[in-house]
Amino acid sequence: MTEPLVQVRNLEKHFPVRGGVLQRTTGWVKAVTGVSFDIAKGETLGLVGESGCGKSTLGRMLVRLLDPTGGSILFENVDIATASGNELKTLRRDVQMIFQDPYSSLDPRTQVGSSIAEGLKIHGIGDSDEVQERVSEMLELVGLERHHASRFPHEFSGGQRQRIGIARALILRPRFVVADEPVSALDVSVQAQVLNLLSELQQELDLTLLFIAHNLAVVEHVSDRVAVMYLGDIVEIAHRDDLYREPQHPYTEALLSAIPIPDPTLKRDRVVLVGDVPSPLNPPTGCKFHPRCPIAHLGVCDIETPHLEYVAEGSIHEASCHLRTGAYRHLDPSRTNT
Amino acid sequence: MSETLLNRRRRRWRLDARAVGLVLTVAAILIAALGALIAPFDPFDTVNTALLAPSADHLLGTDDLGRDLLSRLVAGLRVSLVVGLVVALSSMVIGGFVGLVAGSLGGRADDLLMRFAELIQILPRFFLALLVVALFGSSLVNLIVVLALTSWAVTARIMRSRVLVVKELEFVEASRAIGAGDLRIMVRSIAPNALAPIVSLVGLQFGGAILVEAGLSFLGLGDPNVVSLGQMLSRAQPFMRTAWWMAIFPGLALAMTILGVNLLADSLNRFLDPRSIGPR
Repeated sequence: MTEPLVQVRNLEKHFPVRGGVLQRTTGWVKAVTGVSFDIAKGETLGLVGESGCGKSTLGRMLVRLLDPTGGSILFENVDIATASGNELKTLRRDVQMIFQDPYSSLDPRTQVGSSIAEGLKIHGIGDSDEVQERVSEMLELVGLERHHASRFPHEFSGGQRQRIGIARALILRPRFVVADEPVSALDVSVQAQVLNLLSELQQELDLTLLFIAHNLAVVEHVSDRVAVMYLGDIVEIAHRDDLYREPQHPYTEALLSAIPIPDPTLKRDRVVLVGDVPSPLNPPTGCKFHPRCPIAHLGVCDIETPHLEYVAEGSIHEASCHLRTGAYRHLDPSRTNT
Repeated sequence: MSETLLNRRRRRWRLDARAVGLVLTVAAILIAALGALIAPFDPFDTVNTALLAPSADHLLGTDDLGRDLLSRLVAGLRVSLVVGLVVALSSMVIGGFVGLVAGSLGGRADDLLMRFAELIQILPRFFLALLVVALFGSSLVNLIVVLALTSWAVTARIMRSRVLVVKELEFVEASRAIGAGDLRIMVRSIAPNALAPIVSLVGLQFGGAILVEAGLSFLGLGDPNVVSLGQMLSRAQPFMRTAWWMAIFPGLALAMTILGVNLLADSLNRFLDPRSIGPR
């Protein structure tokens, strides 16, 4: 792996839950609980997980739309987690976000050109001619036309709007971009176009991407490495091919087995999870996945908390499961041969 | 089939409402502005015999003191429009500002501003106006100030509720991610998108303010130095049977002005929405 551009260490976000007449804090929702990972320069890290697992919260912390409760996000020796004032403003040029909903992510009362140009104006880049020129360039780069700048968002389709959102995020020439489910609100036929545009732009502008999604097929298509989140923790992180071919964590196995195969004659072993995602207000003890885990070993998994560990010596494949990577491998009923 | 018919009828009604609002409002403004051309008399001077019926000399007749009714109506309409306009605009500016700040900042500032707004809201406007007239004398300026200072609270609440909705939308987050500061986000992103419902409200408050002024004058508590439609109505009471024009014309002017402004403000809301303009 080349040098990391972004280093996340023990990142946490806890939201207070208020209740009662006095609105006192009665508890904490631990949306993200001590997550650590690196993103290398120029790579795309895919981040998958169910709704409510904390992946959007994580993404929003990386662009500092949310203030982390703890931990650090090192971006070239600057800590995104604690930056403020001018430091934060400079950082905003380098770190950008592409949003999920192309309908609410554009100001309905602002012309598309002004929306895209906003970043240049805020950071005082270029005179008005230059701004106009760069907006036109950007529009063409994302596959729209110059004259679209004077139109309003409602005149565009969902896919076009998402292109505008991409243009707005990229006009400041950021180096690190968080894409929060950028295609999940789009028609399937349009998804591919936007995904391809993203990877073209990544090549052209030398972008580093964190790609958040719940669609595993989409993530496989765009990512170099993939991280799987469950209830605020990363439970497995690996090179894309390793993760899809040889998932180590039982949760990853369950997710992968849920991808539909476009061939009705093929059958496979579904790992069907029982129960719902537990409440992050009161997560299970030990391994948070143990109440739903098909291989959980009571006495171990419900007591001790697992951590990310390398699957094998010299591998970059990490998983957090007592029975697969930890000291309790011998207890794994499904892998008696290893 | 019947449904599309209903829709069509509904759309036509809306178009009509907009046109009626526009015509009535423009008419009221024109009469107030250019009234001197059609009614060249001093509204306070006795110019002819009392209680003359409408004629070519006096288009709306004369009142019980022989003053030209049209001239008085023009002067009264002017006062009404000024009261309505000043009150409505200051309600929009003060209320819009307070609502924007409260909704955007949240927390303590929000609590404080909203409790203050509630305090204002529970004051009975009409009686507060009465009190001020009793204490400080009845001048038009006093009245306008009282109405302006009491009408912003509702606007502030509505603005705040819109701001709370708008500020959670992704384009606001997008602006923040790009590096926009709180002030820029409040002014450029939130305010324009939260303003629409207030515009309709302003029409209502315009009418409300005119009515309070007319009501006070009707009770004889208006500014004695200006002509007021309410005062004209009050004078007309004993002459309802003998000089119907004294009551009918000021009443009509009052009703039509309020109706027109309300209809216009309602449809203005639709004009302000960018989704209803542009190539389609």
